[in-house]
Order: sequence, then C-alpha cells, then structure tokens
Amino acid sequence: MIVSITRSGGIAGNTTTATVDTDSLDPDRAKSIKSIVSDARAASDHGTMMPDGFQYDVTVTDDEGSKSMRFHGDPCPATELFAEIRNL
Amino acid sequence: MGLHRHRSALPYVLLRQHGIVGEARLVKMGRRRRDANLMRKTIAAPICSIIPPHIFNRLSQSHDPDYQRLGLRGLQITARLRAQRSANEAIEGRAADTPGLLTRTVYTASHHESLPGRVVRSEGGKSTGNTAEDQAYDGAGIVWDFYKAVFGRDSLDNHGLRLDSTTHYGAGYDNAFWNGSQMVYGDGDGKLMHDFTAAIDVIGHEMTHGVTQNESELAYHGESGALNESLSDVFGILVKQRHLLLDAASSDWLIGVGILIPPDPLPAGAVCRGLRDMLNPGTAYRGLPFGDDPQPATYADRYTGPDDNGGVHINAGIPSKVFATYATAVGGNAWETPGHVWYRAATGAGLPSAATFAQFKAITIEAARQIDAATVPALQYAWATVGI
Repeated sequence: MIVSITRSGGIAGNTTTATVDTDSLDPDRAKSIKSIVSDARAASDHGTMMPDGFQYDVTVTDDEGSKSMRFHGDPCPATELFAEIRNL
Repeated sequence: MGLHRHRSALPYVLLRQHGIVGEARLVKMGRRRRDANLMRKTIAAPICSIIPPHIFNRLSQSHDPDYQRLGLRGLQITARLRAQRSANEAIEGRAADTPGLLTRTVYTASHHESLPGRVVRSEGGKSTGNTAEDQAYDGAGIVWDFYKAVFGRDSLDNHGLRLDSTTHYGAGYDNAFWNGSQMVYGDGDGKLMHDFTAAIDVIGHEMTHGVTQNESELAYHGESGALNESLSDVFGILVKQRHLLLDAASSDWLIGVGILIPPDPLPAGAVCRGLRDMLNPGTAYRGLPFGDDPQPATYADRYTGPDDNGGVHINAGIPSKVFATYATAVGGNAWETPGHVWYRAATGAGLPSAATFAQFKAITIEAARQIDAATVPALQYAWATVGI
C-alpha cells in the first residue's frame, strides 16, 4: 500500500507532503498505518473546515486501486496518519 | 406558521412567538443586517440565549435559499455550542457575554485536543505564570481594545462576545486557528515553529476571523477565502502597529515575526523574517526546512490549485499588498484612514460572502471616497500594482 498525504493551510499556509510504501516498513509499523488508513476510509465525518485549520489530502493506492480523500481541521482521521507518516 | 411572511419580519416574528426574550446570540443573517438591527431594537434585557433548534430546523427546510442557509448555519452553531456546554459542565464560572465589557477566559488543553480545555485564567484573574496562557490573555485584551478604541466595536460580534482562548492545544502543534467560537493556539513543535501566542498579530489575525464571521462571512475558499485571510492579516498587523506605536513607514509589515525557527546555522541565501510580508509578498522566508514563501505579488501569479482551500493563505498576499501599499502611500498611522477604509469595506452591507478581488477593490474605493476622497488615487494605484 502506498499512502500519500498532503497537509496544507494552517495559519502559516505552507504545504507538506509525505509518502510511504508500507511494503518498506517493518510489519508492526505497516500494520499500524494500514489500520489508520482503514479508519480514515471508513470515516463518515471528514472534519470541519475552519479558518486557519489544516486541509489534509490523502491518496491510498493498493491492490484495489487508488482512492483520494480530503479532511479538514484537527483532530480528524488524517491527523494521526500525517503524524505517523511524517515521522518515518 | 408558514414560512411565507415578509422576509424582513420573519426572524423577529419567530423569536417573539417562541418566547425568546433578551438579546439572543444572533446568528449572522447573511445580507439581512436590517433584520438583525430590527431584532436588536425590539429585544429587551440583554441575556445570552440560544434560538431553539426547531426554529433553525424550520428555516433549513425553507424554499428560500437565504433562510435555508440561515437555518443550517444556526443548527451547526447550536450543535457546536451544545457540545461545548456539555463538555464544560465541570467548569465553574463560565463567562457570559457582557456588552461593553471585556470578558476573557483562557484555557489549557494540556497538550490534548479537547476544547476548550481547563480554565486557567478568567477576566481579572492574576497571571498564571505560564507564558502562553498570559500572552493569550493579554493579547486578547489588546485586540479587544484595538477594535473598541479605533472602530468602536464591542468585541468580535459587536455585542460583547466573550473571548475564549485555548492554549497548549495538541502536542507540538504547529498552528493556531479560529474554530467558529474561540481562538486556539498550539505551542509549536520547537523545531520549525514557536508558540503562536508570542505574536500579537497572530492573536489579532485569529480574532479577526471572528469579526469576519459576524460580518461578511467571506466563504473560506478561492478569492473570498483569500480576502478572509487578508482581512485577518490586515487587522492583525494594525493591532501590532498600534500596540508598538509604529506608523506605516516604521512598520516591517511582517506577520508572525518570531514564529518560524531558523536553522542554526542559517544556510547561505536563506531568509527567515516572518510568516508573511504584506508589503512584499513572497519574501518572508526562503531556503528553510519549512520551504519558501509561496505568496504571489500579482493577480496574474495567483495560485489556482487545490491546496489550502484554493490558496486562501497563498493568494491573501495580493489584497494584503494593496493595503500595505495604500497605507504606506497615505502615511501616518495605518489604523487611521486606511484602517477605517478597510474596516468599512469589510463590515459594510455591500461585501458579499463570495466576493472576488475585483469586487472588493470596488468596495474599498467607494469606502475611501466616503472617508477621505484625497486618498483614492493612492488606493487605485495600490490595486494597479497587483494587476487588478
């Protein structure tokens, strides 16, 4: 699974993109990220856009194809995902 | 009751029929300010009450798109307020709105993400000794005083809205935001960014989002969103300038000085002056781990991609440059004539929520004609410098 997440906005207005191929991770870390992705995919609440809140654009590519999702604000399903991937 | 009465009477009729007395927390009625004024005149003692959700529910089902929008907005606000109220049941002494008086409450989120958090300081309370908490408290007072003294505005809603600030939001959180009812400040991660309460213009920026929410409600995407952001930078920098007694010529016109943490040593050619340069968009920082300042200086170079809600922070540099250029040309204190022109443009009935830069230009020129016609040429020139 390849996961790409872009965080933009916030009061500083900058954009940061982080990408990971879970096949390159140790099994536990890969499982953790896949779990977070699964939660994000299932989320019905994609957050609330608010002034100076972050915008998260997530693209997940796996055997089932590619899916993109957008989330707004913190905390949201993408908050933890961004922190996990960015710190890899 | 049917929803087919005359538009201007409908909101008042609904409130009186449902026994709402005192000054309700007014949901911004879009362009129907005359209705809001009617309500203020006919409602008596000031208490803080919330219009019952079933009223908003009825409105949300209206065939009239304006009332539909009003109803949906009311339901959103009510849900948010109810959630906050239930979360604050354990908090004692939650402040009420106080027309004419400054009412501040500072909370700590204790590095979690639940809002508003735990009360650490109420209005008149002594310093906590925590830098972020005290800066949030003092900063809110400085901004409140700015709007009161310069524009005669009574808090963010012009009706004494209490000012709630949450500090220490999240863990190493590199951001500050307005969540629709309060200011929220992160501590920064200590590597890329410092605590956001350290910059008075950042505090002014966030609080001005509250002003915009209660006035034009500029939609937070595209050009209207960039105007929303620019207004926050404009009034944020004016707060800073007035607080530091800097006139237009003496000001650095930098937003967020001291927030970004430059690498040590600073790479050759790198620049780290602030988050944004209003007079020279795109020059605030360069060559940092954070990246390069993305703001364009002209409309032709505006960002049109999907990030940042269509570039609201990026393209805000365009109207911000107009203001800084205009204020510098006029001279003196920027919060005087230029500030009044911008305040009239931002809070007048003619600014639509979906305003474009071109529409805002026309509104500012008209405001300048009304306030000080001699400055109109300088304003027209300022707009020309960004290609609008």
